[in-house]
Amino acid sequence: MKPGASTMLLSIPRRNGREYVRASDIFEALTAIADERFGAGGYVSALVLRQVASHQLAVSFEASARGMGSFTIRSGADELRGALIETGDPLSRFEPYDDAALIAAVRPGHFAASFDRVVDGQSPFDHLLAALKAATGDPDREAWLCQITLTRRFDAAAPLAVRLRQRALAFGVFEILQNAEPIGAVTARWRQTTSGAPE
Amino acid sequence: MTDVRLERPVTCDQLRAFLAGLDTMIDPGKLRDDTRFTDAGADSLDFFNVLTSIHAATGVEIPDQDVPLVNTLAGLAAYLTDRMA
Repeated sequence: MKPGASTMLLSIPRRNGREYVRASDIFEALTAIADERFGAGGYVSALVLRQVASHQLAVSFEASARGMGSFTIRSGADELRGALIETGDPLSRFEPYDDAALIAAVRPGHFAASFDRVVDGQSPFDHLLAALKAATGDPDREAWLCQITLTRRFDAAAPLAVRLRQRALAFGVFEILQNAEPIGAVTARWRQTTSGAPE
Repeated sequence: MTDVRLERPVTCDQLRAFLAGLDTMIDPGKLRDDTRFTDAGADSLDFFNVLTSIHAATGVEIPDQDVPLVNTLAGLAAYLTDRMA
């Protein structure tokens, strides 16, 4: 699908070894939009990813727009809701990515995981993805982040942790904590292990 | 998140109003009382969110084995009416 006049393209790179768009890159691109629309007080308060995307993404703020995902950006009581639309265009910008330091630093638990420290050079969302991977560890299935809600801007000032709050069907809801304070929740979907599964 | 209250006896119209407040792919125009949610456009994430929202609003937790009983508005209304305090 080609973006129309009321849509805008997201600035998202292609990452080594992955044929899909990383949730972390989508989140960072939407955070940039929140910064642009609301200034320093803006943040992504919700993100829903219903499908894996492998092409360039666009956002639309039209009320009727539907796509592979949706999001909300907010600042105080002001909010904007939008749709994520997968275009037919390939991702053209390449940036390398290595999560080895995160994987080494995360401490897994029983349907939980935490960091004792912030890993330099890694985004808060990448910390979350690594924690979610560790918390949902299953040799036969992989977890795919499909939904996140946040009560405030997600920053790297404090190490984060996740712990399972509810599980049903193929999904699990994990609380996100920083300094032992809940700041939101993330929903993961378990799928049978395949090569190149999304994160 | 929806702020619609569900009260016994739970009706299909109550549930329509409840679902309208959730962020789902459900097409309200296709959702009759006996239409399966998936036939009205809901995906698995939508169904999960409906179940968790219902739990948060009513205290009724729907186990996986009961999911086939609640995959329509009519089925869900009857199930909740039986189990809500």
